[in-house]
Amino acid sequence: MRDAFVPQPVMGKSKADLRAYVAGADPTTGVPVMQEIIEGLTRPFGEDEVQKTTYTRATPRFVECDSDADEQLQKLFLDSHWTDGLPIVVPTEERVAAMLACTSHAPDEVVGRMRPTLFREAWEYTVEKVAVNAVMAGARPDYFPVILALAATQISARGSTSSSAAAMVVVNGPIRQQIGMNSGTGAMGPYSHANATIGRAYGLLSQNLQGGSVVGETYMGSQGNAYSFSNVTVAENEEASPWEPFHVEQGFRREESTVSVFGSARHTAFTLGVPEQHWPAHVRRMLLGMDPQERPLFVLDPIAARQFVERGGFDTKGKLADWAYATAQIPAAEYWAYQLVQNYVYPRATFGEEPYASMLKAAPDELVHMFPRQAIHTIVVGGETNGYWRIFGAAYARTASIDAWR
Amino acid sequence: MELIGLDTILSPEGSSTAKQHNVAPRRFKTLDGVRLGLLGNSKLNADAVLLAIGDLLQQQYAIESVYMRSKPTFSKPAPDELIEAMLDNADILITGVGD
Repeated sequence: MRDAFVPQPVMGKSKADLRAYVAGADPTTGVPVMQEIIEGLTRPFGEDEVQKTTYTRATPRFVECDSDADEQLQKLFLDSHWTDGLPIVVPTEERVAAMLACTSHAPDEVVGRMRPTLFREAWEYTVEKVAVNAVMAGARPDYFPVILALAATQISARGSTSSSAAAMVVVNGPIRQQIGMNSGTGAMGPYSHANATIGRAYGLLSQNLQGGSVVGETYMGSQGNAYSFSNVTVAENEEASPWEPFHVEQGFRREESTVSVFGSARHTAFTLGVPEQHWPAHVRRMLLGMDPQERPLFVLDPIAARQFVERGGFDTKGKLADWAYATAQIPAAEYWAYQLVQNYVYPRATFGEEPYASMLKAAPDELVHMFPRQAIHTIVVGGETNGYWRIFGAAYARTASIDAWR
Repeated sequence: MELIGLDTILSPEGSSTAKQHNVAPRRFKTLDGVRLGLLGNSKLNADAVLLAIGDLLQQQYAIESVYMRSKPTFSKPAPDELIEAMLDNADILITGVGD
């Protein structure tokens, strides 16, 4: 492929600025942009350019290293971009076999295909490959069905997007107690071995099974995201919640064990409780502080959840979402001025897709909804040490059965 | 030092079959008389950059025609119908990405 670059940013620049970019030099080469384009279109391909079009991507079953000392192996895995930068548990055949013993599925069964972005080729992976990554993350073998279910969603926790998206993971059903996941005090922090290593395994398997996650090549997140270390992996506190568990809302039975994946996790807004006075104004501001391309996920300590039932009469999660949808409205002119709305929503509006086409016709000061109703969700997490709660920006993607991978 | 295979440590990488990508042949020594295709990625500023490139090329060459289309969304590859339309209406194609 031949390319030419204009300077960054193009975002927020006038047409005259952009025209000046094109008439100027490529900042990466110093050569005039137009000269590169014209030559790129007319100069015949050289032998070296043609050779670059052939790829060999066979991956061996075993690694090659000049030493089996732990220090050397850690360096090999780090230098190969196979880790999150932290030390890993070396995936010996023995450790991987112990992981494989905790599923009824054959090691060579294909689990799925994954890629860091839709423009890249999808890579394929087996049960054994998922087990290798689970061992590296420090997971215990009895966590393996959860990790296989995550791999089976085929949703990468390591997208290449420049927006630095992380994933979020919510586990429901009896598996929570069976493997000792934390849904109570400290659940989103580092204190549960199961939460921490399952979330880490999801990140490692994503980067290694999709064909890499290398900064500047297959990871372009401009600022990066600390949520990516653990992918905010929690169990829902079903026992203390006043509402239906998340997986039941998605059509699963209460006694089934599932894992739900959310994408684009970045934003967090935070407060204490649901005060008797002015709570609708407080929560409205939290919602209006989000980018309209984010997706509100209420993450409520059980105390805050019960307060929402009491103050707002929200006896289902759906009623809270209805209220948030109706409340989060801004003037149309402000909505359409958001850069991400211009990128993602404006083209869909011009192609006639509703409700966006109608929203595009709204008067500048007419109020429009920031978020689609079906994109607003709630989970209950926390140990009731206090009524703190948060709104994450996180887009619900899929719920997968864990029982199918036992 | 020669690398030795360690037959007890497993590789964490997924797999992908070897693949060949083909490059479009460069059929034109000059852009005089060619039909120019511009494919936007639906981001407004990227489209403005492409239009500026089209303008400057038209100043320099006797371009036969300019065919500009945008993808419905930048985060997915162009649909088949759009690629077919480009093949029908353009001899060369310039595309661009950017916010």
